[in-house]
Amino acid sequence: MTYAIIGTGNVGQALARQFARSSIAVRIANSRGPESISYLAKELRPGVTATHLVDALNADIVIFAVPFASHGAIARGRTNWQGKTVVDAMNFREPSLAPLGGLQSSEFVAMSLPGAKVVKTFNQLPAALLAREPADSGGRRVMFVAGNHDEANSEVATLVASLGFAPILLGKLSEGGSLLRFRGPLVLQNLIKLGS
Amino acid sequence: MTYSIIGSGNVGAALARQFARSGIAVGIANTRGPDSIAPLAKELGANVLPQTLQDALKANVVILAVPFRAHTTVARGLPIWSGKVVVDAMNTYGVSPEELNGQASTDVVAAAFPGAKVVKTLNQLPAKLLAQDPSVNGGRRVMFVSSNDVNAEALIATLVADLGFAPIQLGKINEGGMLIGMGGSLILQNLVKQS
Repeated sequence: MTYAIIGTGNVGQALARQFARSSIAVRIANSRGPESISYLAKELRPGVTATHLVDALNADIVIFAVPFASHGAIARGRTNWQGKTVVDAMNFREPSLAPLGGLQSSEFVAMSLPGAKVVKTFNQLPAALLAREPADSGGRRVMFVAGNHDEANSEVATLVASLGFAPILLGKLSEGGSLLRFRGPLVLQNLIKLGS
Repeated sequence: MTYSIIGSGNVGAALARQFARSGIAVGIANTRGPDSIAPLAKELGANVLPQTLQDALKANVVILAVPFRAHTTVARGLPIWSGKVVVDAMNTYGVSPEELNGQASTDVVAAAFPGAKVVKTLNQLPAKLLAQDPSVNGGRRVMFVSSNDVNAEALIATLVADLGFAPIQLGKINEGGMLIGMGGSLILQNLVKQS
């Protein structure tokens, strides 16, 4: 399984740090090119590799950690998204939900990625907390996962667990996943799961 | 605000313990009468008052901690439930979806308590964990709360917080509330909210 993070802002960097900590190889890319990420890749090498966007989009699992408005431009970086798993780590932060036309934001993202299996996760913690060691206070920090494709959900939940978090699957985007909407009840909650 | 717990089994006793720990007065009743609860009340002190079922149903907030099928018997204790908040702390182990007519169990409960505002919470932890001090490792144990009535949900979230838990409101029963229904993903999760 190969992974890529798209976006090198606070969230992209926090995720890169978690991959490095867990010794899981990951590509990282942004729209400005790998040179702009060399400082981070240098700090987090050898697991974190800065690549061109087009190369990063070839990974099996592609994590979108860009501002929500940029997802369309990233989506156009590939002609075919069929079968690929895309992790939506973004949040739709606009005061009016009208532009989403009644969809959950991840369903809206999925429309730009025909054939991709979109899974929502990594969107729900402030970047500083997302970057912190997930093993905390005798347990592991909770990371909720939602999506419309069971297999992709499990695949991403496994990654989330490999990064040290305690994944909790919420089901479909329009059902449990709606609790992960911007300002939703399960967003910005620093939860530690105790026990197995 | 007055509270009562109906049921003195593992869940009812665990809840009585939390009220006692938090210094919040609560009535407790079962179908066998107050004498059967005297030993528990003695252990927990003056804030836990054994009552007859009839008296316990006079509380503003009535917490159902009986086996699921017994809720209809409790419901018959009052002709009308208007103005009351009923907390569904029951689970539906062994109750088939057919018996519930495919409805969320809390909606089935609501139908049996006409006029009541029904809130689902205190149902999602094993009784032993429910009885433990909710303050853990510098945080507070999470308790999810769900209701179709926004005001009742907020009211019970406040009670849950007063009992020492960290309430998280999930919204309506057939939306976020499904996650704390039978087989839901937020059931039996020992979660501690850090500030």
